Amino acid sequence: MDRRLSALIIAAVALSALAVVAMPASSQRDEEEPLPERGTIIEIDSPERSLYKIAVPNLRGSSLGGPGAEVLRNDFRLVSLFQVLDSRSFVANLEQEGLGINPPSWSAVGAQGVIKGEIEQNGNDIVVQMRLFELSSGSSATLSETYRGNRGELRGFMHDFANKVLLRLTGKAGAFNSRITFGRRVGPGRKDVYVASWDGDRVGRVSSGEGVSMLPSFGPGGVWFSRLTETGMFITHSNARNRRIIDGDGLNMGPTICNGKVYFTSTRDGNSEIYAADLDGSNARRITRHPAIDVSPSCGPGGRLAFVSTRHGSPQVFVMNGNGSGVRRVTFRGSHNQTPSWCMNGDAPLLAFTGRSGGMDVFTVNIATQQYRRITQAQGTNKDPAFSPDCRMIAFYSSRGGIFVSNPEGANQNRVIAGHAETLRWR
Amino acid sequence: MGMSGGGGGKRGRTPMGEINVTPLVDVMLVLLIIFMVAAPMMSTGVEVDLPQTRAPRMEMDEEKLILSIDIDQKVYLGETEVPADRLEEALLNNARIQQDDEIYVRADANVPYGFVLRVFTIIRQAGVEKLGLVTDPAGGAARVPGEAPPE
Repeated sequence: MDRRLSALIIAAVALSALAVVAMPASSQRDEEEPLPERGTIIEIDSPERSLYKIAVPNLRGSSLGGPGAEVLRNDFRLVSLFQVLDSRSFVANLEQEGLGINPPSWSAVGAQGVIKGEIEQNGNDIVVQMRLFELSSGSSATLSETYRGNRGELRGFMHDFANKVLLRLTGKAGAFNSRITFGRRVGPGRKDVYVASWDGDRVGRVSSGEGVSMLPSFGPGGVWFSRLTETGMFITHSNARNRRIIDGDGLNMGPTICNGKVYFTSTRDGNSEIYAADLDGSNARRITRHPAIDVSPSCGPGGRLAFVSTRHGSPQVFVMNGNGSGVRRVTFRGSHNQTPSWCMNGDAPLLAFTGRSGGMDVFTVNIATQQYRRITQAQGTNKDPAFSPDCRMIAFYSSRGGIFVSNPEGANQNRVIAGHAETLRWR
Repeated sequence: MGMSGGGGGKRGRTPMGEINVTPLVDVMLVLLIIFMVAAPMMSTGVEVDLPQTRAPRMEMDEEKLILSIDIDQKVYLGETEVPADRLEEALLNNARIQQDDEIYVRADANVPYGFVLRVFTIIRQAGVEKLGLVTDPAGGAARVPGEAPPE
């Protein structure tokens, strides 16, 4: 009985198989049905499909070629605009091609772009030739750069070339030669300020390694940050050797630099308010006047400031002009929003911030249209976001184990720096 | 489907009345759709003596991914030879094969069936669902001088 049943199933399968086999051979290619005209059609697979397929074989001529190419591949993967092709699939004869390409060998593996490079190494000195080929333009390079320097600069050269590739392909340069600074709890009652390449290379301590240093920001002189003393907090920067640049009664903390001024939070007048001072710390002037708490100023495009205030009850993000005028609330969802950070170079006025709703998660808001986007979704605690300088990525700390970057939609989340971190700034 | 009831139906248990479709679906999912096409003119530089059959002529499209196997069992993607020792990893990781889900194979008539099948297996693992077997249209233009004319 059983056998007869399975024979039946096999027959059924064979029949349906025949049906599908017959179809492709007889059907015409241009038989695609027009899409039905009703409402919006969401192509759920289109974001993936539109990724630019790029092949980055190891640079030739030196053992540095592998690590160098990996810097490029990592940039391209993290920026969420590319599909970096698996080098195991490559069929091109790399020896023969040298710094050029034979286009059919690369279109056969699906590449739309190919990057070739060659390193001439002489002791510590390197000369790096880089080429971008777009298969749509045939076998001539569409971008060509030569870098000279020492081997320690190779990563920087690679980031720079990746920036130029983005400029060439999208019209807007990348920001891969950028750094992230952050605070880190290093022990009980101990915090230090760190800076690292955005991709996690060379994580280095900026502060002195004792006491509490926190709330960093980039500015002239390097990384500015706040240091705790027995009676309050003062503001200094990495080149000031613990000199007090902005000091005064109470807490002076959270610097952000723009308009040729340092904006910071201070309690010198009794309440937490935002102040502006010259870069040498002189001429400190109060720019918020409200009995509620005003903290966390953050410089934005055009010298505008975002900050957090409780003047409407719960902590919310507000923006104002550099002189304190034009105060306006910009977050209206959730009951606790903090740590705002601007997109400095985008088409839309975007702010990233931490929202507290049960746990903490990262959100963005377009302050012109009030469109919100949730970047993280209850994957542990996620907080303290910062946009990359080109706004193509958002970094944030996650309790998943370090600093993560994602694209501005929250996709492609990858950890770039391990360990605890808080209050990120990216420049 | 009473016939499958057998002895099981006596103690109140009714025989299962439906086909269990799971194995059927499984079979369908691993199916590779294979179709034959005759290619009148191929512009790849790889010389292959195609088997002669009657098959519908293919609208040849330069954009199609073509895999050729020549008489020496060398495999070519487009015009580029894939080294034999890297054949498997090169095809399995090929982004274009994974995305196109369609590939045309031009295998020389004298390549062992076993070898062709080995390549098919890799292609299928790489995610291809439609496999076009390219043949020489019977009675078409003679390719090899001195070859016996097709009937």
